[in-house]
Amino acid sequence: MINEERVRLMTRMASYEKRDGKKHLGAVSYFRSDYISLQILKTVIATTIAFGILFGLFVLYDFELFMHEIYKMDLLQFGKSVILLYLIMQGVFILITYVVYLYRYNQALRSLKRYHENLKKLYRSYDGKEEAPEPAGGRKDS
Amino acid sequence: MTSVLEAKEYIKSFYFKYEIYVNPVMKLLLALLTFLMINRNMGYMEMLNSFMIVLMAALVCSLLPWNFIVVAAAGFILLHSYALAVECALVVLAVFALMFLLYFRFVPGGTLVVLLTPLLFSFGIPFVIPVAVGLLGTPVSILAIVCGLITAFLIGHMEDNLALLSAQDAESSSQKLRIMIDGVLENKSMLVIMVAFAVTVLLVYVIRRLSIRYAWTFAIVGGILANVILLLVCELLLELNLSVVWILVGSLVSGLICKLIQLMCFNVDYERTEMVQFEDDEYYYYVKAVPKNLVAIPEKQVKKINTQHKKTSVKPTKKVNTINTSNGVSRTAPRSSKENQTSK
Repeated sequence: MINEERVRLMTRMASYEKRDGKKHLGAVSYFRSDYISLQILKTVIATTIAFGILFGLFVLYDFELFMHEIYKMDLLQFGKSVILLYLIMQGVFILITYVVYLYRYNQALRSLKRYHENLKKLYRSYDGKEEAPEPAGGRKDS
Repeated sequence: MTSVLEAKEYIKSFYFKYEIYVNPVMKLLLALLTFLMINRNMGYMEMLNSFMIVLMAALVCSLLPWNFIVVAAAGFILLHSYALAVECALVVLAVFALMFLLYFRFVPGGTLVVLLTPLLFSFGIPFVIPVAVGLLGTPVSILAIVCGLITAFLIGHMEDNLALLSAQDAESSSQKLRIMIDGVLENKSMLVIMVAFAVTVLLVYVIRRLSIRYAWTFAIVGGILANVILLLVCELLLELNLSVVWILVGSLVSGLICKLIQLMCFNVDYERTEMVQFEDDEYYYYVKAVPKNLVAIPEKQVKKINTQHKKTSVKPTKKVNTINTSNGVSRTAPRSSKENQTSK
């Protein structure tokens, strides 16, 4: 006899595993701070490359004029303003990364909790013959 | 209305039944349309204009994830730009790299909007995008629309400045770069359309989430009107050379398409709205429940009106030969025609 409730649970869990489960498990296998730090590191690298591209386009836009003016301009002041712009850009993107990935981590944690509740329900439906495993991941910072 | 709901149910059941085939076919069609659109608007590299290459690329895309279509389309645009001028390819590469580094890293799922924006632009109905995104998505998708618009206008800008960009003299190298960068930074029409689309997305999103009757219809009408008014006002103030007929007709067609999207995705019966209240230990709940319009697919039953005449005929029996194999298992084989003749 097919246990409909069990089939429903297993289908829901399989669907979750197929769609977001892998991604969420990957996220919560880290500590929250480690996960966000890793994403921020990636953002710093990506933003540095993006800034390099933007600076390159700025120089190439009027290359002759830039080369002509480079001897006249205050290089220290120019360098300072470029670094300031770079830091502002980094700051904005680090902030965005922090907010986005904090939200995603918390969401992954919630979804995985629901998944483990379903898993426990499934074990219980087998008359409690087997013990449900402890949830993996979702570790909080010590 | 009932026929539309029936069609919706048919489409749904067909999709669930043949999902494994429908998805690749849809990817194939989208990739094919995208590559053909790129070739029609650019077409600077002869080799890529061959239909066989387009078809092969689309077939490869149909087997890979949706995001790969964007990568392939970017490759097509880049190769065409390279065929036009190295400077064009350099700027296009820089723009795509910036999009990838600063946007797609955060929102990897917004590729469909990026693809559809230039595609619908080439069909003359780009106004579908902001309203559809406002109805089905979130305001974050505004950035995907912006990326799509930049791509669409970059392609158009290359087409407009073909003579200058295809000049061969070495002195014009920096000039080509400047033309391309200006195409992104100083394109007033693009900026105005970006702002108008962003406002439309926000407006549609806010209205369709309101707890009012016919929220989606109001959102569509409000969004389309806001878009038209914004574009017309900007056209009058800034003289952008946008076609007024294009704005009006395109908006009308877009409105109809969005209405179809509404029928497919959000079809409720406001007449049967129920207001219920209940409470638990912590809260009082005032709930408004709006039932969905549902239609069962009619099952076709074939009734036989004519009575069948029974014919008395003798069924020919098939004669078989029995072959004994070495391991003692008997196998059967049909008689050859020659054997049949001799047995008769």
